[in-house]
Amino acid sequence: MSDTNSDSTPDQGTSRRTAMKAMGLTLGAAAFAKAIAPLTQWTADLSLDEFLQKHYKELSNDELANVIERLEAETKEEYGAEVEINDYRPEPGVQFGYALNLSICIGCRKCAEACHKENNHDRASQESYIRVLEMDKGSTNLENGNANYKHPVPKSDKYYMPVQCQQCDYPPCVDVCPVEATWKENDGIVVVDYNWCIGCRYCEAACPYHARRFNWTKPQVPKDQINPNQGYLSNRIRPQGAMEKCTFCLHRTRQGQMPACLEACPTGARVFGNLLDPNSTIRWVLENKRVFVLKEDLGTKPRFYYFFDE
Amino acid sequence: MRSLPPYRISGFDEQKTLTETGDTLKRWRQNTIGRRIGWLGLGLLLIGGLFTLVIWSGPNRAAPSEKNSSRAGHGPSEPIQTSDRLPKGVNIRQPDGPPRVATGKTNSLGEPVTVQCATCHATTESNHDLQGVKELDEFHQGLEYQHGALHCLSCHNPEDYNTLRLANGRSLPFSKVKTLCAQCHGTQARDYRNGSHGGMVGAWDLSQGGRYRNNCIDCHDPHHPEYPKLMPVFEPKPPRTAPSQPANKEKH
Repeated sequence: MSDTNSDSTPDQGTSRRTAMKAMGLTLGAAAFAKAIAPLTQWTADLSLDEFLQKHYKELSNDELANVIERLEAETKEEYGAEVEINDYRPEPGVQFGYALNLSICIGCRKCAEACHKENNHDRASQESYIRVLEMDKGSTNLENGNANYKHPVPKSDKYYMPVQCQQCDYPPCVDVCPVEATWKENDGIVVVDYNWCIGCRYCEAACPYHARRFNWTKPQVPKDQINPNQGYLSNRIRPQGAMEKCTFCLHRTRQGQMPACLEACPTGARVFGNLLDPNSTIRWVLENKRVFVLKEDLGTKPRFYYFFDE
Repeated sequence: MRSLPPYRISGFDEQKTLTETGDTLKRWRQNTIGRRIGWLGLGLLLIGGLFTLVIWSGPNRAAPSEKNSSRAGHGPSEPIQTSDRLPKGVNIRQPDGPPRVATGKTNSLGEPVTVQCATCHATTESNHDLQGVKELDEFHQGLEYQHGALHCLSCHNPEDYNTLRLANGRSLPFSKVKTLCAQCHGTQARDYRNGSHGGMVGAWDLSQGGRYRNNCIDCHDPHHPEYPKLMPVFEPKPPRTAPSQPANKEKH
């Protein structure tokens, strides 16, 4: 029996086994091609080192130093600017808080402008982490806030409410990130690893304060306008396709300095400091003024407080 | 409007011109190198990349908190430039001394001629009945005055016009003008003392740097103290939007 079977096989041409093999190979090749298809989108903007770069929290000292060196060189190459990028770490015993006096704010938008310059934002779109809303007196309904006012300020029947990242203690933007590219640091600042971010924009959708911005294009900043004092997690020039957000200027504030928006405020409406220091100005405001937070009912526990004078 | 003090606001100058963004987009479209490298090359790259990732990420995933502390020393290599730093402590801007009043005349170089208060007032008798600037026939003409029901001598010292006068009659140097303002504006003075009124620059942490603060009269002209209305700067523009997809994008 076995002899007759083996004799007859050559006459049948391609055997079932061979056909299955060929089909398997074809399917396997197709699957592999499909799997690596995203690589056809690989652009010259993305170097191999950048592609293989680890998450910020997993980088060793040496690796981080290499990454920073590469980023500085890239900035030099692409923007022609000599910059210094540092990895500013949270200081122990510091919890940042920010308060804003709505009675004093006149809506001049100098804070938004200072943010734009300090944080190396895209020039053409005048990106800024701060949006100043012109609000009707007697209402805190953000839906009626107007950010595009063009008349001398302050108008007598309006008040002005700058809105930026609230550095929530329960940040919805962090919860939704599928790759943990954004997290809350020990001093309360919510940061983004711009190189780990995949640009899905879930966080932008999740933020109730409309505080996150997306780099649809590569930011364009003239060489002589680039702020050379840069933080890895803050104002270094962001890559295309990455989310960005206010970091309370951590490259300044983790060095003891005030944020740029506060320094730009001509009226002193902004108060910044360490919530753990009982003698700080921010604590005085929280203990002596009637403060409120935006959208308290959402339970996000913002670190950004608003208050009116009595 | 009184010009604001020449404080350092941030580390670089005003912007000059803006550049266009269009060419980046073109580069993004054109520079795809997937075309140039063969499929085999890409495959090898992917396998190699995945392999490297697996090797690298293995041992490092443990104990992120430990990593943090070990990295504390990595931090900023040096504090930001000392030239950026202000002198230690809180420094409040103060008037140098008695103000100088413009005479409306110019010298041979075209510069305005100013005089000290006492130049005229040393010999001019004080008019305690004066209700306001409008009643004056000469000098101080055109001084905009709108500050409650105060008279000149509510604040100026008729005994010595190079000083101010408190409500209790004591004289006060111009450099301490805040004390004079605080007589009526107690809540503002309290807020100022506690850091929630008035512009400032410098350090939130005074152990790491100094702080400069404005004086009352840096922002409020004592003769018409209402903060002036001004045009807002930095008009918002429409946000950046998604660039249209590259035409040669592979169909999936």
